[in-house]
Amino acid sequence: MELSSDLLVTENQLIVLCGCCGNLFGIHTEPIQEVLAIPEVRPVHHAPPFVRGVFNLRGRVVVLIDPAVKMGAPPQELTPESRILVVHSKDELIGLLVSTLLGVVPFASGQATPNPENLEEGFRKVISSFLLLDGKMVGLLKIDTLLGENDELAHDGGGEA
Amino acid sequence: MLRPLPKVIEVVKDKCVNCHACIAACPVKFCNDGHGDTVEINSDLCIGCGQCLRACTHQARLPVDDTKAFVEALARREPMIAVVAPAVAVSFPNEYLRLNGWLKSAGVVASFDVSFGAELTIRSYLEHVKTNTPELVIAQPCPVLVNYAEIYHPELIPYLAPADSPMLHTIKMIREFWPKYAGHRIAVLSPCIAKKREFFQTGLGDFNVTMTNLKEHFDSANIRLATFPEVDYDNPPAERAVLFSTPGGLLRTAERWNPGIRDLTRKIEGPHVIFHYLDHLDRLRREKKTPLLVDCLNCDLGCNGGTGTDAKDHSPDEVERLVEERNQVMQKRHRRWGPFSDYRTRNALERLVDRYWKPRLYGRQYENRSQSNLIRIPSEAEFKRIYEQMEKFEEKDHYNCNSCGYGTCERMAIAIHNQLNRPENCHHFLLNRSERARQEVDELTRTSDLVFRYQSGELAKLAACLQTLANGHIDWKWEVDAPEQATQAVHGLFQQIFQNLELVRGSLQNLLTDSHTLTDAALAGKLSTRADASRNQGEFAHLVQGMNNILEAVTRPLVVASGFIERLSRGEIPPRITEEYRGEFNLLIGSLNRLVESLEGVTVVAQRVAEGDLQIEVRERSDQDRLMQALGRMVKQVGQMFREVTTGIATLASSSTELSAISEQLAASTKGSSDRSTTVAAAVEQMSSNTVSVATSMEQTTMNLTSVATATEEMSATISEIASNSEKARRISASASQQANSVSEIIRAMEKSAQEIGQVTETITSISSQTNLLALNATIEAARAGVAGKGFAVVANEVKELAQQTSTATIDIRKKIAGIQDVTVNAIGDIESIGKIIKEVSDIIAAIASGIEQQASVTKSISGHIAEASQGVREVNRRMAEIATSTQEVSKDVMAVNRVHGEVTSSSHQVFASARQLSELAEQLRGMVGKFKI
Repeated sequence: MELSSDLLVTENQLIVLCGCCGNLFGIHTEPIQEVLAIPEVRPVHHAPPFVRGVFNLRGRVVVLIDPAVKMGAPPQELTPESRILVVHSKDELIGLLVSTLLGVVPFASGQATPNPENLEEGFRKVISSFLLLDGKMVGLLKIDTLLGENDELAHDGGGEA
Repeated sequence: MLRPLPKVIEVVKDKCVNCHACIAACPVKFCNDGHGDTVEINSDLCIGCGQCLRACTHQARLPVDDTKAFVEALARREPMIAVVAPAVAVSFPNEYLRLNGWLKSAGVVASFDVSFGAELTIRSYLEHVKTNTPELVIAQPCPVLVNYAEIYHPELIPYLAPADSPMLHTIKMIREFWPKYAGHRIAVLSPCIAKKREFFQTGLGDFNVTMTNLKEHFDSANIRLATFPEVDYDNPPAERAVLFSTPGGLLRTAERWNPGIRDLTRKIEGPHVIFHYLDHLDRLRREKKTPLLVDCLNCDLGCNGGTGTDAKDHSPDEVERLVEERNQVMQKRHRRWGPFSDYRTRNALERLVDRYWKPRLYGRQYENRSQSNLIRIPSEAEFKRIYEQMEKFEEKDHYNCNSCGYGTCERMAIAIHNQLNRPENCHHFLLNRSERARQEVDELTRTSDLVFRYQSGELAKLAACLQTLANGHIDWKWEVDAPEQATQAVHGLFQQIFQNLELVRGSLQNLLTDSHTLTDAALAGKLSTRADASRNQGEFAHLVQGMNNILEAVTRPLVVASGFIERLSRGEIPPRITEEYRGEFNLLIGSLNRLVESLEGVTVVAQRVAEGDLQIEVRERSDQDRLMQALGRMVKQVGQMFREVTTGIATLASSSTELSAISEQLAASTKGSSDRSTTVAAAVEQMSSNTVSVATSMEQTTMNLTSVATATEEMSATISEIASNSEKARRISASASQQANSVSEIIRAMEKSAQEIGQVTETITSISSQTNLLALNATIEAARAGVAGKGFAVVANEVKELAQQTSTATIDIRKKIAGIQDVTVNAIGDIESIGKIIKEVSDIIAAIASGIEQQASVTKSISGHIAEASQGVREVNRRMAEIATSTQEVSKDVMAVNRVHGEVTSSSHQVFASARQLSELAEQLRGMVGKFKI
């Protein structure tokens, strides 16, 4: 997964590869502002279960979301390897918790394959297509869907939690 | 005698399929012989009209001409002149003068135009008309109609123009007016195959070279006329007689002389019309309905489209245009311009023609060849018979379908009558025949259908019966259906099958009955029952006999074995069975025999034991042979028992002997001992004297003891030295263990440092992961910046790689630290073991020290004991004195001993007697036991 110098000249898009709840996901670099290691996270009580808490990012308060909970998996543990992806979403900054961060890779739209039939419900809403990298299947996340329908997913998350 | 006419059309037999198209096209059908499988030509009756050439689509009919011979003759450089027909204008359009060029180049010395001959012909005709005033003149440039008239209408011969054809005019002219060519051969380039007949009949003309074949020759020899110069003919040019080859050309030429001749002329051409016309001509002549001149040509397009040209299928416009052009050219040539041009032209021509015309030079005689026409018309009765052959019984059967080619059934009948054809070529006949064949086939089909159905039905029933049989039952039922007339033959066959099947059932029944008998008997135990094999036949009889044999083979050994066993049960040992059986029976008999053997063996053993031979070996027959095993054990144990008894007896005997010996000895020794007691008394005496010597030795002993005490003192000193040394050693080992401890302390400190290093590497790792994170962020920012961020992306990449390197180095360090830790652990272990060893050493030293202590105390006790020993010696001395007193008492006791001796002696005599008794008893026993061999 090397970053070549002429990468940005081509038509490829860049995606960030991350691991979450045992699966590999890819997220377009466009909405991502930065990545950071886990800072001090203050939990917020009475918040939906996918909200792990809030943290201070150079003076701004950023909400930390656990996408695993949103997709119906158990909440991720905070390990030294965990990272936070800070993404733009409707003028807001939202942090996505991932278990591992593998790197940035170029991706051409032609490489994607559609979702398989037997994909679970929680995943299918938010994954647009799949990508085969180094022999592993990487699901491309639709950030907007993941973060956008907060109310619906909140209900789902609430029901499953 | 008429010479046979030369062949102008030949048949290629291989290609002829007997389609009779040629006959249909032929105007004189009876020149064809179709009674075989191919149609052949009778040249004597063939008029050479060439219709069949066009009609045949199988290339089975070919024109015959002399082109090949001509070419060969040219090659041989034979003197040759050529006579060229005006039809060359059509066959070699615009090139006909070049043809002359080719002819000249090929070696032909002169070429003559037949058109001029045609001018002469007209002259001849007109002369004939003027001189002979005939009723009817049939112009005959066409040899086909000459042949037709000669063969079929000899009555028209007188009216054939007694003048040659233009071609012959030309040839005769050459012979007459060009004597230099007298010896030359004449090749005629003609458009007509029938011209050959003319040459043959008049003897003039050597080669009939048709234009078709000449053209073919040009193609194959790659001769192009365009390469040859135009050369004009060697004879005076004709005027409009060049039109002769066209239908009506003769007329137009004649018109020049006699303009009114057109009204007196019939112009007629085409094979479809002329022959019919000629058939009726004579009748019409008699009825005075005929014209004066008949301008008649066989070919539709005239000679331009003759049988020897390729122009047969051309349109008249194509053909005649060319000739017309030539005509115009010629007319222009001859035209005299100026006043009275027509008259002057005509005059000039007349003078020209007259120069070459002589009366009676160009006369032509014709042959009456009607004798060749041997066609017979059948009589009424013959007709009827032929029609019957053709299966035409009624008027309506006369189809006149022209399949045969003859046009009417009547003419076909005539042909059949003359053996020129056969009924098989008649369509009606064939239809009838096929109709009959079809009816037969229908009938056969119907019959075979019936038979087939009947057969299928019966076979199905048979199959069902066989199925029953295959399932193992013989209780099938089959009834054969009654036949109809068609199926009578097959019915007989099925009856046969039914009967055979019944026979099969009977045989099977017999077989079953016999087998049942045998099996029942065998099950009931009646082993002597046998079946009657003669009731069955063939393989079944073998089967029954086989079953009998089975029973026989099985029962006989059983009977023998049971008899044998019965005798055994009574206790008898019967002799061996000597009969031979097969297979497993043999095993049985063998076992029985072995049983007898072993019984005999047991008997023998028992007998031998009874005789006293206990050494006999008892052989076991197998592992399960409990009898023999028990027997063997019994014999062994009895033997063993006897052996023990024998040993015991021996011991007894020897003991008793010993006892008697001892008692003797005792008696003797008692005596001896009384002697001894005396001796004892003497000894006591001695003993008191010995006491003194003992006292002296006691003194010595005391001295020895003192030396021992000094030695012990020395030993104590040594021991205390050893003790102090061991103390030193202990101190040293203590310090060594202390050192070891301090070393392990150092090592532990080292371990701690290593751990600390490890912590540092942790820090480094975290730094590198943060750097990695930074690099990722940088990449993302670079991606957001787009093209401008390209350089930045490179930097980010470098940072990322740096982070990678750092983490790899850190991992390396960690590995090294782990290595150090392993070594440290080992060192600690070693040091610990060193400490342990040191500790052991100090333990040993302590033990040594304690041992030394013990030694010291022992030494002390030894000294104590020595003192006691000295004390003891003194005691001994004291006791010596006491002994002396005791000695006295001893001699008193000796006396008492003597008294006791006497009692003992008497007892020993008793003992002796008993011992003797014992040994006698032992002897008896030995004798008894000795009977047994053990």
